[in-house]
Amino acid sequence: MNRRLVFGALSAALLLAGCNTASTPQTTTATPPKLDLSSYRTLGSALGQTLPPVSSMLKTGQEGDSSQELVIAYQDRAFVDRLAAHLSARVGGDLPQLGLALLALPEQYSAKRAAAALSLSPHSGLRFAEANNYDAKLPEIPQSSEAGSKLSAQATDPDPLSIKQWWIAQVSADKVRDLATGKGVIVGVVDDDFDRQHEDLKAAGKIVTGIDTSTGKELTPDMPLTNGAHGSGSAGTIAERLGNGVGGAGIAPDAILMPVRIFSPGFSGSFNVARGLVYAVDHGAQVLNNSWGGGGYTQIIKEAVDYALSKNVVVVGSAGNDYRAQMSGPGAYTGAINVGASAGDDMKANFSNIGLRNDIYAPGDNGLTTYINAGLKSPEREQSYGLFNGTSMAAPVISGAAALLLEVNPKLTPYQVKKILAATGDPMKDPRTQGFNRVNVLKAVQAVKAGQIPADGGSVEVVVVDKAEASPITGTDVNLVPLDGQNRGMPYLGRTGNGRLAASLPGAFDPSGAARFFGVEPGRYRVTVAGPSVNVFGGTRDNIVGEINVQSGKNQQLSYTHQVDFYEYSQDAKGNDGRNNTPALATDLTFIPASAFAQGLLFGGTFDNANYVYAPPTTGKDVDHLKFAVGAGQTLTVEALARALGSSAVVQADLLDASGAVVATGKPSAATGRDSVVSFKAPAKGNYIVRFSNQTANEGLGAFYTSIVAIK
Amino acid sequence: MKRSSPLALLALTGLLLTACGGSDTPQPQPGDTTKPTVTLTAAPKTVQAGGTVTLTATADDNVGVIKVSFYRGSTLISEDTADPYTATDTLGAGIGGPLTYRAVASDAAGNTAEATDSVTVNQVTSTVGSGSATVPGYLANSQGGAVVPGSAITVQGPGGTQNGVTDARGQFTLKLDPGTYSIEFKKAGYAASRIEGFKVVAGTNETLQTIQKNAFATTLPTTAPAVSVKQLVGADAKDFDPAKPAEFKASAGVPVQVTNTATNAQNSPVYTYVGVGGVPGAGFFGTRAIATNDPKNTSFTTTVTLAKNSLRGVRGPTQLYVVAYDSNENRTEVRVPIVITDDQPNDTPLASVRDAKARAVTIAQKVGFNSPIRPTGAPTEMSTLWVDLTWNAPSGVLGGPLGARIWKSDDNKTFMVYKTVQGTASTARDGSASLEVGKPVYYQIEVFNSTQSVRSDVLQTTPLDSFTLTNIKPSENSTGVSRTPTISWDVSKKVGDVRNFYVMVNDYPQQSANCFWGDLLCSGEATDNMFTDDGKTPALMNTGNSYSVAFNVNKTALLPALESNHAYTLDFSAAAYSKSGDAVSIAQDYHKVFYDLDLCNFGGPVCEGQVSNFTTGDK
Repeated sequence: MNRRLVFGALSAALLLAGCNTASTPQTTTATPPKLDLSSYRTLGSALGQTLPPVSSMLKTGQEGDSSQELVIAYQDRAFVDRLAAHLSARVGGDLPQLGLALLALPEQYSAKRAAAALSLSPHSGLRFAEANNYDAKLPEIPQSSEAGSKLSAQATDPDPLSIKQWWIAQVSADKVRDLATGKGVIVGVVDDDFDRQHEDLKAAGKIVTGIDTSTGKELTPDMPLTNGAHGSGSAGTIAERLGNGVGGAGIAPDAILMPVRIFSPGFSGSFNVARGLVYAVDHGAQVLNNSWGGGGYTQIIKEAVDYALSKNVVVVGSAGNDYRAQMSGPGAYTGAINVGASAGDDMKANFSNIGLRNDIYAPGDNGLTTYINAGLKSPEREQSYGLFNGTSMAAPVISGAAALLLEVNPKLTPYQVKKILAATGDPMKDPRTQGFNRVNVLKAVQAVKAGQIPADGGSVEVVVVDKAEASPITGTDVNLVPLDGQNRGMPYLGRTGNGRLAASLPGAFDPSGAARFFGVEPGRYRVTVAGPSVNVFGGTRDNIVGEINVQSGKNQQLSYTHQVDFYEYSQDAKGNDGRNNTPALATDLTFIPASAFAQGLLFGGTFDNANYVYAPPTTGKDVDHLKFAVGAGQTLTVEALARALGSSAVVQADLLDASGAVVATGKPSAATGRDSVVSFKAPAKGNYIVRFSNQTANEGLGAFYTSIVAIK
Repeated sequence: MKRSSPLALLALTGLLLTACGGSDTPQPQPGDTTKPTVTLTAAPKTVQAGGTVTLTATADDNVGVIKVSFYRGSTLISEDTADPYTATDTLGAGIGGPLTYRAVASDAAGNTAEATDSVTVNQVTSTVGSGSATVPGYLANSQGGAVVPGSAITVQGPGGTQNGVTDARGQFTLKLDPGTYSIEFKKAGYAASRIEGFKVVAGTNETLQTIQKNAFATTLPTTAPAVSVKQLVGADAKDFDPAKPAEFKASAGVPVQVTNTATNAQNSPVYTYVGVGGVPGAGFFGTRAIATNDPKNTSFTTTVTLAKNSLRGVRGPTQLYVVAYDSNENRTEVRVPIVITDDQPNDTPLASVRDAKARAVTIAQKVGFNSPIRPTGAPTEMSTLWVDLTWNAPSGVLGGPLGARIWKSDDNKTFMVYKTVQGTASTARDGSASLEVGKPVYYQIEVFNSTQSVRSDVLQTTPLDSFTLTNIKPSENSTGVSRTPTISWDVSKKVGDVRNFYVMVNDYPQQSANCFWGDLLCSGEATDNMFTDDGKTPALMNTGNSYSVAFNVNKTALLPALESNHAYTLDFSAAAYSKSGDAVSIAQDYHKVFYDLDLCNFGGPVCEGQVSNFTTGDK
């Protein structure tokens, strides 16, 4: 069952229309007069046309960038071109399937600052921006130093090394050869390169063209190995050939291997990995094996994993080799299969990560396979074998198992594959892994052949937008907490963004649109949508709690609004960060041409001093200042609403000149429901400041306002 | 038909039978009622449990003995029909003495006679043999690992086969006459372990610290690899002459060819180690040569030359050690006597040995180093214990020492050389099984050149027990956790004199930032959140084995409270120290706070241990 991403359609409605769709407030103090603000264009949409000044993206030397690359998650491809022109940056890559593009920034810019500047306020056409500095690692396995030289005589045995493959017998893979061999199933080996010319991997049709994500070029079956040994270990574990007189045999000996090279030997970066995963999915891979990790969560790879899952591709990842209950790598994303390593006698391999996040165990130690000695030259290298180990080996065992199941029933969803493998396994014997199974591929294949297919999982998409502009809010935690023991009682974790706190990565914010969960175990869940991260947009953390019933095979879409002040964050003339509580720190919107305000632009704000915790502490009430450029003879009109929207505040709007002197005072307009309307005709071209202040003592949650600014 | 008389029938039958039986079978005389005579000797008089008793009988008869039947008690062992009459009885498991053997001689008429003899069975103990020299021994499951109790020991050599078993502390004593022996260890669940060429000299020998690893899989064969070691003379591999130790010039090194063959094709050789100055294994414990097999090969031959640092400054008559492992952790060690001639003497003047220190390191993680010495010292199966020795014997313009001998003593009186390391070394490690929690151990470092040596002061350390953290709160997978939680944990026991805890709350996996409270992951510094129970950090509460600290008690967290409905990881690095700092015990340390060593994939010395993944509520 193919499920297309539907978020795109949903957010287009929210972003491109640029109209206010959520006019009904959350709080219910009094019954407000019905207001229709939907005809106004939002400030966020204008910001999509006008980009932050380049000065806000220059390097200060404090950012610690590890790359000049900026990943743009776009809604509108034209936005990427506008931004590239604005920064004189080169578009280094485009991934339309995920709506991701890569910009190579000129040296004077900081990728992290650029991401931060773009994230501060909504820009239509942009979903999120992230510096391309995610770093992952290939697990180290001791390499042979001096290999023994003598080749022992091979018997006339169809797979002479299979006698040494304890792990094949342990999972009953030797007993499944007549039932399934993975024929016709393409498995993407997302890893370092593997040796396409190895005597026990090479055969007509067995290896298909893949991609070298560090260069973007294809890797064709006739090409020799670039470098590395790890990928050959993964490839052989999955699909070492059967019955050809050399070597041993893998779990799915007739599976087709596709190289997706992401270590060369350095990690090629999250954008390139996303590109590799998309390539594999688009070119027919049904399983993606990921024997790597170490970097934690990144939105870019999460979106690529979601892309694969939405297209019914099984995503398998290694749980990690650090002995502990710790998330490591793509296996931990919702919907992926996270694999731990077992050893002899179904004990846990000492190094294997453990914990509830593991779905299944598979042999991951002393595994003889085509784990080449990369120090040899051809042709000896293509005849070398090695003892593979790690959760790097356990994951390919499961990828091979998935290939067997998909040969028998290609319609299985990733969720069903995970469930079948976990349920048909044999119990692990280690006290540290009580309640978990080691895969038994024979029982799994038999179950599928007998039609014992579990119900599919469900999926959930959660969009969180702000009250005023209905623009997506980044950095919002969305969790699904199981109420009936699903998922071993473990919450599914999601975020609508990937913001980082200033102290760890100064100034980096990584907003995104929605939190997506694929492959959720059906049942009742408490949905918790935490308010905007106090570190990203600030504001008092508002917790929305709902309950949903996730149903097999169904996708649910939820949307919530929070109050957030996108425009609070500002910088003074010296570049110091702060709140826009004073005219000197007024949020600078002067780069937006006055013509954009001709029909009025709408935006929201809050009276809340608990946001932007890294700004210097403020005393007194929250007051917001925003600065606009007005031409000579033009009239600046500001309407501010709060009470009529159900806010606990009453907003007063006044106009100041550039020096901070008041030039006009706002007055209420009961008939139109505005708390305050103010107007000023500028005698000369200049910058004018709008000051919003709160006439009540109510601050924080519930004290929000919306404003329309027009310049004619 | 005329009836035949019964007697006649019997006679006829008797005639027929004898006609088939053969020409030397005595014919029964009618009315033979004379019993045979028989004697029995059972040897040895005292047999080891599981050993073999040889029974010898003499038997005689007026007509002829047709057989002698041998019994142990009432159990028939065998029958012998021809002189000399013998039988052997191999004692099965659980057969204990005293045992009475019977020999029953029979003649053709059915007359029998019996003789008995008894034998005492020596139950197997941890003392093997009854010879004149003594070899104290320890068995552990790896260098630095836990002891192996109850492992059956078989020693073969002059004097035949002797048996024993390691005691509850993995210890054993060989009592053997001087000579060369092989030793084998067997225990269910463990791989094979075998030593060949083990030389015993008169008196008390140096301690044998050896290794028997856990089998990788009990379903795979547990037989020791076959190892052959030859010396290379030019390009030719020649056997070592058992009568005359081979001589090698130090300047040319020691070239050998080793073949390591797994005795069952299900296994493959993995590593071959070659070294002098101490039994070789994991490089962590000393310089040596290592060769690794392509595991498709069931037999693997490699040539290795020990030279320069891998000679470790050893000169004169010595032992060459070869250790071979296969993929099921079966181990064979071969010792070959050789002579390394000091053909380029080192006469660098020696300086004093300065800054010599010994520190015992206990970690709550099973590492499983490949090394000859085994430690039983490791307090539990899931721990590893070794001693780090460090010193400063600087080289100058004139060069450096030839080597350094590590002397070791358990009582600060009798010291024996434990290992030798190369002159450029400034560290050595002891992973002996004889290390024991709470037992002081003494060392002296002796640097030497070809003619003289200089010793350091005596160093001392007392290893600490291992401990773990338990009952961590907020607990794993908890939800609705307070945004300002109290963080608490227990220690399994209070070890050493002071306990140090580095507490971290990392914004991981949901990840706004790594370091929410405790900056270690971001800055590499572990000063901000280190709490100690010696009173110097009053924010740490301690009652018995329980500890707690309030989140952000030191006001260094990124935010005054955790964010609501957000997932975090609670992690610790925890270690205990002795007052003098000469011993440390690390419970968990993914982040290399207490010891700089990567024993984990992406982490530091001890990644076993508790982490807690929890989610906050909204308060």
